[in-house]
Amino acid sequence: MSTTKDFIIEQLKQQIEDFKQEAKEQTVGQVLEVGDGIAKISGLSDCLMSEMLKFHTSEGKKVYGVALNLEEDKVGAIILGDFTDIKEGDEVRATRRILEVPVGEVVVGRVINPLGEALDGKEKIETDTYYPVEKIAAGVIDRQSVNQPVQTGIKAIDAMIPIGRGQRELIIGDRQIGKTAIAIDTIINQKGQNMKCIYVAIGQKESKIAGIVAKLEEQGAMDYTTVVLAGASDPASLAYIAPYAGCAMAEYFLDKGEDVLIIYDDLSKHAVAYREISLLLKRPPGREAYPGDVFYLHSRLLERACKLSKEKGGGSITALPIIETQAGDVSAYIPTNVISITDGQIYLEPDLFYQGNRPAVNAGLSVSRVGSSAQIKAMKKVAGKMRLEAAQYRELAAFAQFGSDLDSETKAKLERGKRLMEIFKQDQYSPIAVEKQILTFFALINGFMDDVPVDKINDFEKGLGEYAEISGAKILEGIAAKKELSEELEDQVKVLIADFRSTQDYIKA
Amino acid sequence: MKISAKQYGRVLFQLTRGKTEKEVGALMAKFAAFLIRQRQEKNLDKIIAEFGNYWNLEKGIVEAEITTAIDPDKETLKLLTGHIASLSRAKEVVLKPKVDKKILGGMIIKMEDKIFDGSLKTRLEELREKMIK
Repeated sequence: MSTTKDFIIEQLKQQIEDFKQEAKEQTVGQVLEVGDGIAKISGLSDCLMSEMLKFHTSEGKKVYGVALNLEEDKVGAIILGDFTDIKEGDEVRATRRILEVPVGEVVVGRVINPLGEALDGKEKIETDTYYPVEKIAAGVIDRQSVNQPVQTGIKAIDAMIPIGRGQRELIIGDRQIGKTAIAIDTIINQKGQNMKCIYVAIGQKESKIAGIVAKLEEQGAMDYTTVVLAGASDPASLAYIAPYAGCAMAEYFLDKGEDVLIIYDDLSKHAVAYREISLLLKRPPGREAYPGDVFYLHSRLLERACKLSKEKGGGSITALPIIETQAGDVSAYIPTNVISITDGQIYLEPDLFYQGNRPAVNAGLSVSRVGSSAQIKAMKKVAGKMRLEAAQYRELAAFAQFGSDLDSETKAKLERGKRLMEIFKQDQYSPIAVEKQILTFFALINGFMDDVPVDKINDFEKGLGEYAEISGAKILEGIAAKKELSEELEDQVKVLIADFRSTQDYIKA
Repeated sequence: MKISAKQYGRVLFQLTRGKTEKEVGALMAKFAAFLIRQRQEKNLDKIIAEFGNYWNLEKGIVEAEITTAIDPDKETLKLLTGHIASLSRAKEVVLKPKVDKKILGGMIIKMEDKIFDGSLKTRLEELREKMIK
């Protein structure tokens, strides 16, 4: 007992001895005006851009802010937190630190706010590692081209619009069309794929986030996922820094050479939050009242997604920004900006959605500029022309409504197209492993589904998957391991599908 | 366009620069009349403060607010004047001593937008934060 007592006293003495008694020079200012989450401060003559400022309120509370406008004789700052406590004349001290957030393994599996404070009621986030929120993206020399796939587990996307590790792929569409669903399915499918996931919710309803977190937990996806939440009731300043904070957390894993998937849900609300801040700071409005630098706002964020070269550790950040359009208008200001920044987009269409094609991916307007280099060889082989076929089918189907007499080739194309559309239908929260996807597509392009009735395609596909798990586990493993379809494997797959077909009574022998 | 207190302060400073006391007396009557015509009398405090800033900048005067827990003796104040003069490279230092029991001990020097906080209260707070960590 006495040793512990001595130890405690010794430690205390040491601490007090080490405690240097010196008065440091600090820069102070005074709050000139405050309101709507921003403050104008006098003084602070040598304040840095995006420096953290500490407000000492008259009630003795401490609130942090970030300097955004450095003017001749005053500083404009956003307040991170409760601004109702701050009054005119309160003292503001400069901290000499650029805004940073806690990063590290501690944030994995947690729901936190953009400042790194726990929102899930679990223990405090404690770490010594902090990363600056704003950082210049990796340069040309530090990068390499994208060559590894991110398997979303969604057939329509993995086949037609492949996403690579380090790519930026925009998910765009109207409200309530399944944008978030695609993102969440992708997170769920990253289990065992050596991928950390960060879901940044910007201005989202907290009830929706609670639902998402519960679903991720149920699927075991929270083991590798962090949720950064700036809710709808949080001030615009938090929504503004949320994606940058999420990206800083991703960069920690990037620097360790790991792969990270980050989802910004959604950047339209981020732009709105930034517009609010800019207008309050009296920056001049431009198109749609957004300030002049909204393009830079998103480009500097998305440019931080990258695939690093081997010398730099080979890590990657894959970004899936989400944009909500109004009545399908992709030519509005923010959607066009983000479309031009990203390496492709997944366009979700209301018509398809209401016809029951879910996910409602429009094959014609969706592209991935990285293309097939982000697909495994086996997938490339079976899915090569699928996007073209899907896009052609829709045109052909519309055209075929007018005429009844069609040549046999067109008829065959239409029949194949119908089945393709049927295959692309997929339920939410049920991502499919890449080898099973390959099996399905292989069956389709090799004509094994041509005599399956369209309304039975779903059953056929499900049945084939289950059958392969039992009788063809080795084949599936082979595809997953080799990542390509050798002739030998192809023959085995053909036999497997033929065997399965013989068990189905809706196929005429 | 609205004219700010800062602009009025600058005008006052430029008007009176290099003038004799007699000239200033006449000028002040006119300037006061001008301010009242512009309905700026309620901003007088701000204008005076801005004028003071310009004046101090021109003459190299630094105003320093010294907060202590007990009344400082003359010797300390003299030492402080020299110290602040060397710190800020000012020609003249105007000390404004203030007594605040709440800081417990030590001293806080505040000049322009710089603060040197050597109060016992702040140090104890820092020590507490460090020990919690």
